[in-house]
Amino acid sequence: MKQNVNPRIYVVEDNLIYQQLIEKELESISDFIRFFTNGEACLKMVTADLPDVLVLDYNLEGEMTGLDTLKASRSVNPDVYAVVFSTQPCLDTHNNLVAFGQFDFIEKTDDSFYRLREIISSRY
Amino acid sequence: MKKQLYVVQKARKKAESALGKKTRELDLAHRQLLQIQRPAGRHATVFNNIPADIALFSPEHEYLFLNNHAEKEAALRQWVIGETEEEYCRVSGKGLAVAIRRIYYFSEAVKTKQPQEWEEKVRDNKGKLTYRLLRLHPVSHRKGGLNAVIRVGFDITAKKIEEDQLLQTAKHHLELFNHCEALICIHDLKGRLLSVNPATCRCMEYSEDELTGRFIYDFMPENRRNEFKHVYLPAIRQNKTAGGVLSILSKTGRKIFMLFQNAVVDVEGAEPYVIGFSLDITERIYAEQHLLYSKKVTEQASHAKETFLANMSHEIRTPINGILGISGLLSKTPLNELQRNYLQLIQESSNNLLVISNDVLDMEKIISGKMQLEQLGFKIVDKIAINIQSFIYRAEEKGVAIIFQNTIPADLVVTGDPFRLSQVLNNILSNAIKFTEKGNIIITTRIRSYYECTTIIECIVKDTGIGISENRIDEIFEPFVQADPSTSRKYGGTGLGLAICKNLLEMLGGSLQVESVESKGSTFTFSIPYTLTEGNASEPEPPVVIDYLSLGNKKVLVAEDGELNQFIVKHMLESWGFEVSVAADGMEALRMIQENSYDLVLMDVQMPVMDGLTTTRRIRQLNDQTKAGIPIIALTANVSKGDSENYIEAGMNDYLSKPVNEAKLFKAIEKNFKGTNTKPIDMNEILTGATESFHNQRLYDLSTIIAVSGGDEEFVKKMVKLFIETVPANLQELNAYLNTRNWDMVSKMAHKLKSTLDSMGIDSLRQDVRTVEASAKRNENLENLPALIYKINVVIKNCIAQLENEVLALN
Repeated sequence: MKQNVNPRIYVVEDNLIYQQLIEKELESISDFIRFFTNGEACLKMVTADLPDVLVLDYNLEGEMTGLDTLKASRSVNPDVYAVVFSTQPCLDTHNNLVAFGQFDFIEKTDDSFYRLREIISSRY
Repeated sequence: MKKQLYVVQKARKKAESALGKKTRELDLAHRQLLQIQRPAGRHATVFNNIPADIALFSPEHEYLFLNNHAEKEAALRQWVIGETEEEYCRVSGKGLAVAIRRIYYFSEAVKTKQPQEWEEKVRDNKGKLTYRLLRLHPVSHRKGGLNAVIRVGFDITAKKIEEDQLLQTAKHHLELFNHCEALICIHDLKGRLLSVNPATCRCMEYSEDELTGRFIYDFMPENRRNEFKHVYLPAIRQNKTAGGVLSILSKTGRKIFMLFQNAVVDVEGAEPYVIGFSLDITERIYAEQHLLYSKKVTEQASHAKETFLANMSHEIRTPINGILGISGLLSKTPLNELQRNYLQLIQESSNNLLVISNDVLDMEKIISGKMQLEQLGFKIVDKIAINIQSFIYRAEEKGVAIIFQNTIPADLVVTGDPFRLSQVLNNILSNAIKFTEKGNIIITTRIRSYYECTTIIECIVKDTGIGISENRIDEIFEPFVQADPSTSRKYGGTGLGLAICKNLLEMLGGSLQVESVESKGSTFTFSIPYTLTEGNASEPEPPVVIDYLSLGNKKVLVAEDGELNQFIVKHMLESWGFEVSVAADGMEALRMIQENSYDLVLMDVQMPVMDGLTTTRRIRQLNDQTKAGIPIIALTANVSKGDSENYIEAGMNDYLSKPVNEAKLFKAIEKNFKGTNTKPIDMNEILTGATESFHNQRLYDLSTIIAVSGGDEEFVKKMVKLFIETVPANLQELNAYLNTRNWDMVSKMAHKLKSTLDSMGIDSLRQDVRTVEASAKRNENLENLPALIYKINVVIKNCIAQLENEVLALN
């Protein structure tokens, strides 16, 4: 993992309010954050311009889930660091990690944004 | 003379020299002997104390020494020196046979100069057998000749007896192994056969050589081999024992089933092996398979028969309902007395026919376990009295008296299934009347027992009818059996009534007994446990005089393929002042709905081309929200609990069972015109009305957002604005999906709203929105969703109002 003080973060989240909350939390870490509401759009951008961090909601508008998006992004950049959000607990099962590659998992609760910042800033 | 003397002298000299030579030779021999004997002499004490037989022989097989152990008698030990073996054996009583063997081995030892060893079996003069292991050691001198032979002997009697016993046991085992009819094999832990008994060979049609050394799974059908390798072998290694059934192919390809019980034998210092003991159960398995197959065939046949009967009854019911419906319409027309009588006969016969087909359907439901029981509070005495009442007319006609003796308190309210009670009582009473020509029928009711909050009600119906003969009495509860085969000819009936009663009573936890004397009468006694209910019974709704014209002119589409039903329903609806269109199948109905506008659809479930459920789903997916939200009432011939869920799930608002009852149909239509869940929810209408109730509570909690904002008030406001701007649109979408019964999308929208509501801390909806998401996803409890979604609408609207006042206004 390359050290980068200002990581390029792509966030895929279909809820506008959540987008705002995430942006607010992450603005202290990076001033390069791009938002997408569906996996397809994010993937298009990933192919053109590689991010360092992918923040993914599991449930998304469109056909792809967060994990599908992660898997597709990894085929472009296997090193991209990913955090997956979901309201359903325990998505980071062994099977999922094997199938979609390594990612950090945060369950959507009250303090999930804070934890998101912690988890990303611990790496950058 | 001199010459003679010389000859004599010479001869003497010669003799002397020969003698001297001989003497020297003897001397030498003697010395040699002494040399050998000397150590023996010297060490005699040592030799005598060795716990083994020790004997010393000259090369000519003469005894030179015998120790204490070899010969107990001192005299014999003395005597034996210089004696031959033959002599010694004779004197010591060992017998000639022993001597001959000893002489043989001795000569072998002398000839080969090699040690010899053999076992000797000696029976002493007391008859006791002893075994000895004898060993001869030839002692050579330097020139290669023999000095002497030493014989050492050990008593191996104890060991020998043990060995003999072992041998004997082994022999027995071998015989068992060889002659036993059970299949025995020994295999190693990899499944390789080490040995098999002849029975196994016979069974598998292979020779012993063809089996030993091969793997057991080589003889198994290919699809079973893995099971042997991956299940049996690990199991036996781990548990030391395993049992089960193995399938094996014989040399000629015959499939053999073996019931086996195998166990591991651990031998110290050797590879553990497995002893397998099996029985050939091939015939048993085939017999079992055959039986199972026969059972399956029989069950299928029986099931086919039941299904056929049920279908037949079902098919019969539809035209009967037609007859009844038309008769009902006919009875409303002006008729003369004769015509009215005829009509009444038609109605009675049709009703009887309906009872029969209902009986068959009930029986099928009971057998297949589909019969559902209600739990309602009702006054038990009223229920019984009403049932009896309905028979009084028939009884009077026949001149039979009905006496009702009741000891149950009139106002006792119980919880249970009143319909099944009626069904049982009706059945028994109608039998009583049917089979009683004169005399009376006494119905006695009483409380048999109370226990805490349950009570057992008993009802005895005693008639003075034809009775049942003793040898038939056990059979009357069997389906399709009547007391006397002639009964059905004389009295009619299906023979199902009592079977249904008995089954229903068993389902209710009660019982049914019968006592009967032929040509004197029968007594049927049944009891049912009920839960006592505090408070009032759910009173039957007071008969409301329905104003069939109250709904005014409505446009109704009837989708129904049966012409009779089309006709009946159309007439009913038209008599209420409705405008009725008819579609003969689902496709036509869908087309007509798209082309015209209706207020309501009555939808037959079973229709050609496209069935009612599919049609309903297609209607709910129409783009036109008004058309997609039209109330649809299912008309169906079969209603069970599972079915009704299917109807609701397909998007129907309500369902009615055929035959169509005018009052019920009217009520259902009336309800669905008024019902909130049929009308598209007008959010504004709801929201203006319901603001009051939440006025004083704060509905949101912005702590999450504030925590994220890090004190940035503008950020908080931005978030609130975003909420106010986006959520109403989401709500509207949710409402639209609810109206079209698009449950999948309802669930998705609820999911979307869920996180938004959580981030705004709207805790009063926290659970509701999750319930909506889950229920809609699983198609469960759908009837609750309109109310929940209504609540979500109201709370959000109020919340928005509060946010506008309290957060955004703070400038």
